[in-house]
Amino acid sequence: MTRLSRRDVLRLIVITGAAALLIPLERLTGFLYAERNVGPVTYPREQVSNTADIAVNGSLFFEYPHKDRPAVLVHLSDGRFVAYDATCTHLGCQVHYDEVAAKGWEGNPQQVFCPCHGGVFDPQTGKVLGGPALRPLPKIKLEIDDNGDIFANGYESGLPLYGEG
Amino acid sequence: MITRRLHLTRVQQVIKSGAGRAAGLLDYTLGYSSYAGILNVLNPMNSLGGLAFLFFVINAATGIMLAMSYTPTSEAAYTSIQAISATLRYGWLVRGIHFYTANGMIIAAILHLVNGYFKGTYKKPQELNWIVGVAAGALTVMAGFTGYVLRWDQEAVGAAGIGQGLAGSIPQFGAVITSVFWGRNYTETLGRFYAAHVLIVPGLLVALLAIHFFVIRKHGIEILLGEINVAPVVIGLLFILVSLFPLKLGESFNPMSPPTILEPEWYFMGMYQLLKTQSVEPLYVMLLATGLGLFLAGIPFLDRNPERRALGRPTITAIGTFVIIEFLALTTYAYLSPGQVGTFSDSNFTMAFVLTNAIAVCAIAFVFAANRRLAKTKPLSEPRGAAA
Repeated sequence: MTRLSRRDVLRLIVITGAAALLIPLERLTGFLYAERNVGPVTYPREQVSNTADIAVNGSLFFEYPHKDRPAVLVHLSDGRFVAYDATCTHLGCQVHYDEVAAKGWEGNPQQVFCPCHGGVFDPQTGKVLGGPALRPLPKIKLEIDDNGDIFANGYESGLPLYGEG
Repeated sequence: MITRRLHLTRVQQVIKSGAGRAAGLLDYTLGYSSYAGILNVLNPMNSLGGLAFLFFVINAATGIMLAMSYTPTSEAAYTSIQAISATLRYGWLVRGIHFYTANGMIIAAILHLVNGYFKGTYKKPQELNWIVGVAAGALTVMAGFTGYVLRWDQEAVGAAGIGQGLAGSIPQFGAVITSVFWGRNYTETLGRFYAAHVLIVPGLLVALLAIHFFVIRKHGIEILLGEINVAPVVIGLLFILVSLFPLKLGESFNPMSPPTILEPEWYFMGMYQLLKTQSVEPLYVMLLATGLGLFLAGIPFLDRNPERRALGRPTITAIGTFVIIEFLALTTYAYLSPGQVGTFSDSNFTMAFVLTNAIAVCAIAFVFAANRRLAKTKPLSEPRGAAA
């Protein structure tokens, strides 16, 4: 068995010292790291609006399923109400419903439009009608009670939510 | 015991040779003390780098002043800029100068890059310095991007989100990158952009520019002669510019009333046009931008031809011309068709596409034709600074 030389002992000290510094450093990278928003598995039932508050062809924004997550409620021309997650599935801009189409889309009134890269979604189903988006908008399940109060209660289709999958 | 020693020696050898190679390249770069290329300081094309640096210095000064009055939270950022512009004494001027010099820095940096590309300034012995310059250019654009997000108006929040979407489109690493550079909520995200804009990006930029200038001086190129003379003129022009065209602030960010059309700053308009083209996925655009960056950084090693005249190395010149034409065309088309998807079912888009590429093909053909004439009439030039 060989004896440990001074050099070997010093090397051991350096390596242990470096490990003692580096191991907590690996933990500390957690400081930089934001936990990703993973959408709740069960979505809350929340009141959104009342049928009396939104005209035919009108729309309004609400936050669902949590703060800072916009959703859009649309009163379709056939009288039905639909709601979608309002984050474009292309690159995350906020979509909006226009009775009169935005500039450049004059031929497409009454559609859900993304202001960034011109994505257009079908307000009846949330499907992509045009533009670079590949996925339909998540459609929110709506319930309307006898007073006309509209409630959002989870999603019908289109999950996962953009940026939270 | 013997095998272990041999193994160690081998690893050591590899490390040594790798380190040796890197050191060799560094030694080679720094080894030129009297590089023959003396720049004509009266030629404005040679003062673009210095001009970009002058803008950087003005930006740093005005940036520090703005940081004193800016509040980096999603609730207060917009109102603090309103206060800077409206009530703070000379706040409008400082903010205006910061904005115009930031844009001026990007323009000067782009022209400096284009000038170097066509004049072959990346060639021996400036190879490493060219890469440092490309990295500094990328940081300049990053400074612009992180800066305009700080306004926290409708465009700014949209731009931050698009940046997040683009970064997130990178396979494997997207999630990590977005969770480091974007927070879980608006205030966290704004805090990260603020840190990047005032500390990380300028810090790295200072370090890179220090290397850039040190190597240039080491190579005996006199710098900052013309620029220092023009500094008072440039600053005066900035005062006039800001007074004539004071900055406006966009609409305050309001998720309950999103904007009808969202567009980025001018230097991202080309990329924006690609993103809003039918069936172009965000990842393709990311790959294209990364590829272009790598090509620019790698050009000193791709183009080993000692010829410095643009027409003497037609392939490189043709690629550069093509990229510039496409960039200008994409940018122009983006301005002409706000919010509109680019698709071949649109005759305007098809026409613009055909026209752009016809021009590009003609330009490439011209470059090669001119090169053939040049090769017939004149001998190829000798490399500059080859004596060292």
